[in-house]
Amino acid sequence: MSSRNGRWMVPGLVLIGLADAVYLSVLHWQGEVPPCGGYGGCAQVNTSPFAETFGVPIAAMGAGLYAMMLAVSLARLRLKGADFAYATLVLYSLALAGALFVSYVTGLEALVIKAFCYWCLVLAGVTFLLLGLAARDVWVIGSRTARYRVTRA
Amino acid sequence: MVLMPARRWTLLVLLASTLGVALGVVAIALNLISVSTQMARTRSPGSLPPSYLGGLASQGRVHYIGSLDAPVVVTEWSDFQCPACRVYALTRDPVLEQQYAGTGQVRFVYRNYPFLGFESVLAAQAAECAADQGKYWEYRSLLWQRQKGENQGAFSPDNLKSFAAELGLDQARFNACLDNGTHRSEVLAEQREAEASGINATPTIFVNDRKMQGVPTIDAMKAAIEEELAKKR
Repeated sequence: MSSRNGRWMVPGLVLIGLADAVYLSVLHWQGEVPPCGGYGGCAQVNTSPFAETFGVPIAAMGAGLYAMMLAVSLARLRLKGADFAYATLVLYSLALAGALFVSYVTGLEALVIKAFCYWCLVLAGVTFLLLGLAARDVWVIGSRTARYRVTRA
Repeated sequence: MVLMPARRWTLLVLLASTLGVALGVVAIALNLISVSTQMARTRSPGSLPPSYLGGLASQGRVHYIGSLDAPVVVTEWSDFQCPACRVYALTRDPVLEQQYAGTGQVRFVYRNYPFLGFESVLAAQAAECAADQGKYWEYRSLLWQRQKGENQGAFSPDNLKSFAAELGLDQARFNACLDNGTHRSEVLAEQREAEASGINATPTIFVNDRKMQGVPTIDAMKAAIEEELAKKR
């Protein structure tokens, strides 16, 4: 992120995703289903067998992933140089894992459950945005290391 | 900003990508394993506490858990295609049954109100056909797990027959029961009974005579049950 305001975009998006995942987790543990504007899809998805992994709501797994991304994205705000680059790689790695999983869940919604949960779709969208931003940062850092190589040569 | 040599960065990016993909794949694999385990595990009388077993039975075509002498009767009218019924059945029933059914104070009765279309009626009939072979609870549990949309084929005759095969029912007997509509008139009679009782949505739950609609919270259900129990003391 080159601009000062832009650097807050990643933690901001992570917070949105975290809030969404925590909300879905709490509802799951309370045995409630998220509001869906009269459409039954949220209930279908969140009570499907796929909504849990060995008793742990997948939303809680997402919340755990987002909590890690929040810590890394906040740390990145203070880091510089190689440390910033390493933190960006960790963020990219976590976002990539998240993007794979939300793709799987969205695929299940479309093909197996045949119903969509808006809250899950928002989480999927945020995760892909984060992957895009992290990948862009990885690319920018990579292009700088390329210049470094030329300079050394 | 001088960072590191390009080759090292490239290796690190590859490593991060591999780790990310590995983490995602592991999470997906665990979910799939968990689901396949869950699909194979349906609620059965054998998995309930022994105190349930005396009252886990079918009385005529009415299925219930708990003592016949219980002062409080919780009657649940549901449709196997109704998502809210599924939520109620999967999240409320196990908790409430666990807490109250073994006490002899509460009986949980499960009734059909198949109003969402032909697959609702078929599913209810199939559950009754499974009941003929002593597998109502397992079949009911499987129906909730396999619910997908309304009248889109999830409860087609072929699928309903495959569920029976999955549970190890006598396939020929089950198929004949379903194909001949052995329990159709009973299921439709239940539907008429529900409508005559003023029920127009599912799930509709009665705690004795107190009518509750939608998906009441567990706390709301417990409060209603406790109030009824207090009246009987």
